[in-house]
Amino acid sequence: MAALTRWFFGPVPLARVAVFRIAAYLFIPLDLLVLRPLGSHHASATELYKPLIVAELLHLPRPTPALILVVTWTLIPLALLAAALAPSGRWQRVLGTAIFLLYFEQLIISFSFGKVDHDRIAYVVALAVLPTVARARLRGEGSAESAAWALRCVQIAVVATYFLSAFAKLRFGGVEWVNSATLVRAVMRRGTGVGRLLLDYPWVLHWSQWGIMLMELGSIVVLFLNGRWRYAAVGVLTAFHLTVYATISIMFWPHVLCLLLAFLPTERLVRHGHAGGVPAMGTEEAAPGAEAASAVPALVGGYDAHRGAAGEPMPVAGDEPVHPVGQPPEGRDAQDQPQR
Amino acid sequence: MITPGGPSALPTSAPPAEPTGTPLAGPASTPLSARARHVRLVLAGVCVALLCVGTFWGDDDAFPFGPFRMYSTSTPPNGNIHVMVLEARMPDGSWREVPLDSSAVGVNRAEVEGQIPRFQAAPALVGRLVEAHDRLRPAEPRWTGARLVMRYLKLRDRRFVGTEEKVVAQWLR
Repeated sequence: MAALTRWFFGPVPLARVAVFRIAAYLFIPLDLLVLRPLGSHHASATELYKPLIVAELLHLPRPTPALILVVTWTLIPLALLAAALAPSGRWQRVLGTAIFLLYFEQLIISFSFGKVDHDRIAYVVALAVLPTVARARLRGEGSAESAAWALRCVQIAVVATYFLSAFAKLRFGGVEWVNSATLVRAVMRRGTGVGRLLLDYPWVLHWSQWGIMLMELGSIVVLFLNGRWRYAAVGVLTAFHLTVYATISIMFWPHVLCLLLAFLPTERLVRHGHAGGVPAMGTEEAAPGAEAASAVPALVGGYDAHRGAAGEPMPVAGDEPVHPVGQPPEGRDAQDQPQR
Repeated sequence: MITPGGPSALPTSAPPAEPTGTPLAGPASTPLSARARHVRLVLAGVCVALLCVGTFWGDDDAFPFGPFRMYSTSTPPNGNIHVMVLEARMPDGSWREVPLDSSAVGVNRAEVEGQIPRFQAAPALVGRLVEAHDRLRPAEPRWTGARLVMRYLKLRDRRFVGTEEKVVAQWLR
């Protein structure tokens, strides 16, 4: 029990939560207006509504064009306001709770037309747990156990998306899934130019299924990795999603956002800017694409860069220790062990 | 779903008056009370348990605790790939394949494929796609009818060898 408690609550910098909030809330207008504008389209076909169990349990109203419009256009300004206030930490619990409830309702409506997407669970969990963290400021120092729990929940949801999907494949596709032509189907249904090239080499797609199954079953290990091994795992998973996008044009946008923001020490972006006089990072961490491109190598590099010749910790300007000097994290399972 | 803890539900901000559990962090970190930790552990445990139950016994309608079943079914290497397509009757009476996409007819292909029995039982629902097209694409010619066609892409040794088609549901204005 003590190990579990340490694993869940090993303190995490509050600034990491502030970074997460900015990116997560800015994603909402991007999602509703650009990536997945299904709500406005569904408003033209509400006769095809087929409610989820949760909608019936909660007695949610049957969606009408007006309801869809109200939910969407309440959510977008609230999300923009929450993102704008996130650096100061003000109103985050109230706004965050409202945003979670509205986004959840929006998803329930959106998934009640015959198709459920599986890239949203980690993001919904993030929206649910972010309001449970108090006083998280972008420039603030210090850490909190509440932040640790929130980010750990998102990490579990991210990993569950891979790990449990392996069992869904075994359940619905059987053990023969790995030797089926499922990826040929995926490419033939919605393959890109790059993906269609692979149709001439079906053995590549066949063995990729073995790779996917092994990766998904092994993904649970990521929850227990630290330091460079964790960064490597995040890199591998991100590369997997980019490959899927390049071949069959499916991108788990909110899931990848959570993968990067829940597993990487994003507070270092802010601290770097703070010490070095670099302009405020408020826009950089808000753009998941930019973060994927720039943050990961910097952070991985930072791991080694912070070591002395003999592997001893070295102080780095602008990179304040999460734990005060002389106060090492307790136990090997502490979630946010300094990467030095 | 993990419930967002409001200030009243999850006491995270104020230092607890009661003796708390063993603090895990140094002075720079804000600890949680033992009760707040227990509430959080239970919430996380319940959600993980529900997700596991949904994975083995639920289906898509159990969202957010349903199985992650994207591309989870097996297509035999010598079997058929099913692709739903939409054909519309133009004002001149000709039939033409049109995008089965939410921006054109209000729902996308996967959503229609998820409701095939409904369309078979009530072909008039195809008419709702036509009406959605009237609303979403008013500048385009009004369709006088539409039909959902299941296209079977036949595989041999994982290679495409031919196509068959079958009408699933049809509606005429």
